[in-house]
Amino acid sequence: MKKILFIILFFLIWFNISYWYENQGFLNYKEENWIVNFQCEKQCFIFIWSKENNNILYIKWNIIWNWVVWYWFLNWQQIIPGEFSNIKNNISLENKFFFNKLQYYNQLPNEIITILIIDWNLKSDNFSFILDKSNFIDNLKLNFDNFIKIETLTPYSINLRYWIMIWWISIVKIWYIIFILIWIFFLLNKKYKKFNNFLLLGLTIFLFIWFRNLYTYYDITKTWLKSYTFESIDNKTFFDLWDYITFTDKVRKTLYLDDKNNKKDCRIFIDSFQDWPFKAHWQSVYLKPCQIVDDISKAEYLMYYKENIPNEIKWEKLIDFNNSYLYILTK
Amino acid sequence: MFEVSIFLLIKYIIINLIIPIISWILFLWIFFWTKFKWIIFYIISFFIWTWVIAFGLFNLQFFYFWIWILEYLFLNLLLIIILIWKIVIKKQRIIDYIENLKLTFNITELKKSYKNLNLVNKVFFIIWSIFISLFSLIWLLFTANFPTYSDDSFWNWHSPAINIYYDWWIKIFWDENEILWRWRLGYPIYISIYKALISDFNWVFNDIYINLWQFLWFILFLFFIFHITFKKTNNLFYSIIPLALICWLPLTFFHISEWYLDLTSALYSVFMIYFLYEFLENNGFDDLNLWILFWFILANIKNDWLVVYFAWTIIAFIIYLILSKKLVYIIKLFFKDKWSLFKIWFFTFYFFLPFIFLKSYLWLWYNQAAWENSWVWLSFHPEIFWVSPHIFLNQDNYNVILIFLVIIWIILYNRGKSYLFIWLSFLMIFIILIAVFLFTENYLWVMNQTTVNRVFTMTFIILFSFIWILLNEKTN
Repeated sequence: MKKILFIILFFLIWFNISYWYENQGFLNYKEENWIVNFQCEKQCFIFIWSKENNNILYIKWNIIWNWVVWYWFLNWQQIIPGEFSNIKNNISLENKFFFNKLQYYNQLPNEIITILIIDWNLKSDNFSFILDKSNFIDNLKLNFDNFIKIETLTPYSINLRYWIMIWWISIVKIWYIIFILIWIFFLLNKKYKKFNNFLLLGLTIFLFIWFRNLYTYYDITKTWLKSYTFESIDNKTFFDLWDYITFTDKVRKTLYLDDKNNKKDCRIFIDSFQDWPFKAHWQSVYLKPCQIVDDISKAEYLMYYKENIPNEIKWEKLIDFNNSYLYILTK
Repeated sequence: MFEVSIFLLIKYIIINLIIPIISWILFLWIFFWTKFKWIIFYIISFFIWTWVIAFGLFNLQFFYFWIWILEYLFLNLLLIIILIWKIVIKKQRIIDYIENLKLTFNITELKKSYKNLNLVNKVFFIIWSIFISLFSLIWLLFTANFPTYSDDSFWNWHSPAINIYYDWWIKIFWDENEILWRWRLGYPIYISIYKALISDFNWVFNDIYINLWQFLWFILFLFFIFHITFKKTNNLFYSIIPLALICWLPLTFFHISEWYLDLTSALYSVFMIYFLYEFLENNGFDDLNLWILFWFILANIKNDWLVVYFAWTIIAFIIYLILSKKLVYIIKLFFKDKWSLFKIWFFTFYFFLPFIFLKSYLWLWYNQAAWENSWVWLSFHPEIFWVSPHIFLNQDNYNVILIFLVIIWIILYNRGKSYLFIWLSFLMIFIILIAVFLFTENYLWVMNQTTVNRVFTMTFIILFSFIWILLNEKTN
């Protein structure tokens, strides 16, 4: 389906090649001096005509809600995926996409369309994008990033892959080889008795790794205590659950759901900009003991999380929090 | 539901510790009163009791179709009656029971051991002690502030827990769809029932603090490992090594805040192997009972319960008996002590039978983690025999390097030591490693994913817990 869409879009561009760039899918789109204000619903595209010798896509944004941005290249035959960036809410940021990071970059023709894709329902405030050439510092940074790559750990990391990568080799593999060589050396050289020194060396390296891990855990815990535990109620955010927990807590308190002596039997309709994990959580656990209903007509309460409210709804508003709402049926 | 405060933190720690304390004296006094001394007595019983509470309640509600605190009290009352019966009818002296409460953890032995260490070992001991303490503090902060995230554990254990809490019972005779999606009875519900119980004692379901049980339980586990290592080696430096190794593993840290229950399974495996080892050494039926008890607890923690753990423990046990030519001797031993045999059957069926009945009644004898109702008993995947070498050689797994380092250090440091039990452990570990995904349709796919790192981590925890066997001078 997406391929068909892109073929259609490609031909749309084909007839508009006189423009430097073209956009699709926006509700509103105003551009002035390379600064764009737009409103996007679901998925929007900006077609940047030629990459020529430029190798950086430089974007600046100041947006109201979290969103996803990525880019693709479009040549005459196919769509070539580029990088992906998940952008958090209410933060003004600048970001550089280095095309050189892509292994196939050098194989791309100069005359190729770059497509900037913006996902989800959002409004921009002074968004700008520029295709540019990398300078010396950019190249240095890029090469260093390519040389050493550290795996991102999150509080909910349940599996790890490589930890630290030097070029394309995991540091684990390097140590693996070194220690097997040392082991073979010791096994072959039976006369060498100073084993305690070897043990000491091993323990020291182990201690160093220990310290490195300790720092990682401290860092994760610190970040999250700051943004979640010790943050004021209205500003609490929990990683990619954002303010979902705060909003849910507000709903529970408003409806007295934790008051066990005064058990509430309520029916609630929920809608969210994204089903997983929010709707799944509410449905199975976090709006208990309320019942979740699929039909608005059967509901006593309506809940919208980062979702546009249908115009016909004229219910009484109980909560209005960061584009999330709770309504009650008025009698 | 997500409230975080110091008051709640203290309250939940106390509740988590108090609930088992109320019953551990009764339970272990009755069944294992000659076996344990104070600290170790409490630690072991904590691990048993959290389970006994959960499954006692599960079994009771199976008969009466309702569940609440009264049943917990009823269970305790039952134990008190048994204790009184033992004292009055069997005329056992109460003084013997009280005697076992004495603190036997000798501080002077620790001091003496510390003085005997050389300077390098002292330095390592101190640094590691500080590191482990810091780790514990970070763990506490981490666990006490982490809301449940959407993952397998959310669906399989957390969701039933809150259903039990709000509905006050487990609806076990609903239609299959409801059973699978609401109550998840295809999965063991030990963790869920315990969480619901703890929440009930606290009068509110707090998503964050109920996970503190896992933290406490891991700290107690470390104490246990330290205790047995010191008991066997009498060396403070050796005793801190397994703790340092276990705490180092990065995935241990992430699994403490309650995830896929692999860590829980690994720790209960350690208890199980320990008592199996003790039984093989001493031929004591109390050890055998505890081994079986822990085996059943373990079997009820994860969904791949019966076959996986049954297979790898029984096979390893039989191999050991055959190799050591003790098979006939052990079988004869069983029939000499009929009371012990009865105790074994009691543990087997009191806790286990209702769940077996439910599984059969609801037709849940397949592994729900697998695709298309892959049958637990019959599914078999020959591709493991060519996948495994590939995994060992190609995975970017920094846990793997650690295991190699440690093995190399220890083997070289202890040339000429006895390796029989370690060989057996390796066999067990290898079997658990392949068995975890053996019964799933997507075995090949899974083994090529990072999931294998998680399984490796858990097997290392099991192995690191038994380093004392290699360090023990007496095994020569």
